[in-house]
Amino acid sequence: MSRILAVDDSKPMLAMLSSCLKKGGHEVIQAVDGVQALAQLKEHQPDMVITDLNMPNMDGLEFIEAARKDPAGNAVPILLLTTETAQALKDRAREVRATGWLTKPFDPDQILGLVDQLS
Amino acid sequence: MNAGLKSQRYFDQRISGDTVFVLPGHHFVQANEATPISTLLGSCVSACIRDTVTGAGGLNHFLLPEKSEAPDADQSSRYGVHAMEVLINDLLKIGAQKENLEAKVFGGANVIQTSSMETVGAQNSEFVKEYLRSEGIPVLAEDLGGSKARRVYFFPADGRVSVLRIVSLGNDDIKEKEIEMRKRALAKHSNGGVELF
Repeated sequence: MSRILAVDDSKPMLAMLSSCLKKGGHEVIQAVDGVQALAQLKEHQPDMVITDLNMPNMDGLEFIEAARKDPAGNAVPILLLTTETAQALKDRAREVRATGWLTKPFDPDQILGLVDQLS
Repeated sequence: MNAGLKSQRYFDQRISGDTVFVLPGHHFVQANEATPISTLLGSCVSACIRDTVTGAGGLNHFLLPEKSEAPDADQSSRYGVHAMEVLINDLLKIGAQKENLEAKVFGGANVIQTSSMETVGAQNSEFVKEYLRSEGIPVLAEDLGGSKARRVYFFPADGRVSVLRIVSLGNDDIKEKEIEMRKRALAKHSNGGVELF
């Protein structure tokens, strides 16, 4: 069992992702934007983070960039889960040291497989 | 600026003007423009969403995959969540603000009367209303259910929607397309790509 921080500004999407992770036996912590995610990361020290890209206040890329500068987020696997597919954004994700890129809609088995693999 | 896929702009004699027609499974958004966005709905549903301040708006056209092919309800609604999310994300990209969004919802007719599809329209209708409620986007009007297909024209600039009930056009054509779409939906959308850096 891993502790996963799930980040998405869409409540239905966040609920669906959390439900998938809980069914896989994992503990889920939630955040609705990058600012909240950064606070949750420091407080709960999750084994892995799955974050949306387009969010208000602080987007997924800004969040990862900030997380990597913090001891709590320096080494934790962080996956982006997004509807975006643009190469420029993927390049930016690599630059800020995201662990990987998943394109929505997600496959629950695939997500759980990645959690087992990376966390 | 326009965004979206598989949409065709053409002169529509019914409204004596241009319209952008959205095909099943797709969506379209536009900034403040006078051109209406239209679609043809049977059991499918469409959320017409606009920013009340900027006049940007768009609509999607989707239906949930067949539940019998989905291991659980989550997997079926996953497709609808995706259809709603890409529409809202594209609206935000052209400057819409989430707190300014309002919606009108249409479709979900029972044009498909076979036993397995009997409640398809109702499922789709419930889903889209619940999604918008959960996102806190107010639904100003709805025209859901019934037995007739609908042709919907959405004018995002002022929020107006015209709905024409399809009487003469055979429901059979729409029905066949929707059955096929429903079967394909799950397979087509069950796998997003993964790239590990």
